[in-house]
Amino acid sequence: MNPILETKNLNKQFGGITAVNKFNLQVKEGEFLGLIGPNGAGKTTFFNLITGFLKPDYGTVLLKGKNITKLKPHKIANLGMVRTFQIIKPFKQMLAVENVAVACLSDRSKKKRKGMDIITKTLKALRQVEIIPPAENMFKLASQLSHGYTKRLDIARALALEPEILLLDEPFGGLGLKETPIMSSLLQRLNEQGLTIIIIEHKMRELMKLAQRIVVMHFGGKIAEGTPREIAKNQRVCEAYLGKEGDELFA
Amino acid sequence: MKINLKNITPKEMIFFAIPILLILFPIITTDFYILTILITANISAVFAASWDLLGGVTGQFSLGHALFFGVAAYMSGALNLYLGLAPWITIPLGGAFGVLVGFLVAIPSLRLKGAYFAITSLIFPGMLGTLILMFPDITGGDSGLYGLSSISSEILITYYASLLLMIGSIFVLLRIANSNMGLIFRSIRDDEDTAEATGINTTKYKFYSFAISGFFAGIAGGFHAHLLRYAGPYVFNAFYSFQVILFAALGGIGTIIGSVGGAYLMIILNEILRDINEFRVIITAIVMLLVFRFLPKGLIRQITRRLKISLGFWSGLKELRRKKDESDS
Repeated sequence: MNPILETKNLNKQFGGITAVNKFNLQVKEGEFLGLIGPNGAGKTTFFNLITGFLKPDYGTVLLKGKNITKLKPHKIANLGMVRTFQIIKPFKQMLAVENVAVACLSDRSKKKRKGMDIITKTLKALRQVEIIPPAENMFKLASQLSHGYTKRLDIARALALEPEILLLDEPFGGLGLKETPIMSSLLQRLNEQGLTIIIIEHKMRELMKLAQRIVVMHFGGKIAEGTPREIAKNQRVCEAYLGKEGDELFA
Repeated sequence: MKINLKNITPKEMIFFAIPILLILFPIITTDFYILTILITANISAVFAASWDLLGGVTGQFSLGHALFFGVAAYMSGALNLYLGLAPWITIPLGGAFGVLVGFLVAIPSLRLKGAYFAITSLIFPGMLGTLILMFPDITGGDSGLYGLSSISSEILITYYASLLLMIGSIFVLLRIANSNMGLIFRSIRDDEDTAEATGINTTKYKFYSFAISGFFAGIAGGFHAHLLRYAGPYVFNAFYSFQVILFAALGGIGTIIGSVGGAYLMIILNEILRDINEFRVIITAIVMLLVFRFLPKGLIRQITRRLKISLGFWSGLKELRRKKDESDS
């Protein structure tokens, strides 16, 4: 089967530093892929490259076989690859529902759900992330919401675009004990519904449970690739990132 | 727009009372001096509201809004003087030139964000002011274009024309700000990267915002030139650029309607203090400081919050509330 997302020889230098070094990756449809590595390994730069926020020095990005390397971010989002940011940046002076409604005004959302009005689409996206129950929050400014709620709101904004690939940059970052399992089951459910998910994460316990395959980055290159169990046992990964007792993650 | 009178609460009637009061105002007095002040306030309100759509709603904090005003003033003036076109044609054409200039200024805004764009925008009116002086044969140089047709020989007609312009412009700008397009404008203001990642063509919508804002600033500029029967290099003065921001900020940035309140307050205050000219600047400054200290979000926001009227929000919100309640029950 053809990969839904493929990068070939992707390279990005900042001055003398090579942030992403001739990176090759293939993602299958419906896959849940984890991207890990120490800070500064180039994970977020990789996200920025494939979503058009940065232009690679050379190399190509193929989305469903289509070359999207030189496209603008909004074009790529409208093609079905939607991202979130590591430091979440909601529309702060707008209400929570308005944050999601903006996504329903995108070209993709208009095309994908013809005949459905923007109000219905907004409510649908909010329901998908189970944001509806604490309803009073829907009509609060995004800047007044809790961190965990904002994270889910951010995913609702992405889901309103009806994505085929969802790129999540540390979705568990800063979440409390109560919020972590909610996020975990939400991502699990979305993946089971057929959504391809690529996730950058430092919280290994969560990632190991969710991801089917993990790619480890170090100094812009790929040092290992495999199932969570294989990665935890990998000598190089333990040295570079996980620490000596990676196996403990499964204890 | 469907105005359903049943949906309007008594509190919201206040917003309808103000234009009615202004329409009926000439019953009290038709004094030339007083009406001229109100005409100036009306024009300033349109000018300030046009800035608010660009700076307050879309977040493109322009410090050179006099550019649109000035170009339109000169263009209306030139069309009137050289081609003999009547003011009711030259003023909208001035607005059209505002749109053109808006497109040109939008280009640097695509690369420059926030403070960097603000600083750059400061330069444009100055550049054009200098350019004007280089072609005295066409532009009249230092003395500008004078002897333009007045809007009407009757001050009362001019007053109603300005009032119509003000109410019409504010209505349209408010509708835009609360529409789906306005929602996109606000998303660009809050975070351009997130808007782009949400599939919004931020370039396109920035151009829209500049064009709409340029149009209304241009109309204000054209009207002003015909009111004074004169367009001179003064129109590019930085004072005009700063004044509109002040009006909008006093009333409430991003509310559109606040610009009207801000413009009226400052212009009337300015005239009242004319007799004690020495203290004018200092009293104006104190009023501004008091407003910003106690009502940092502007006069209108304070009033609407007290009265619990939602303002400056997306028009789909009511519908959304209703649909949600339906599905809950």
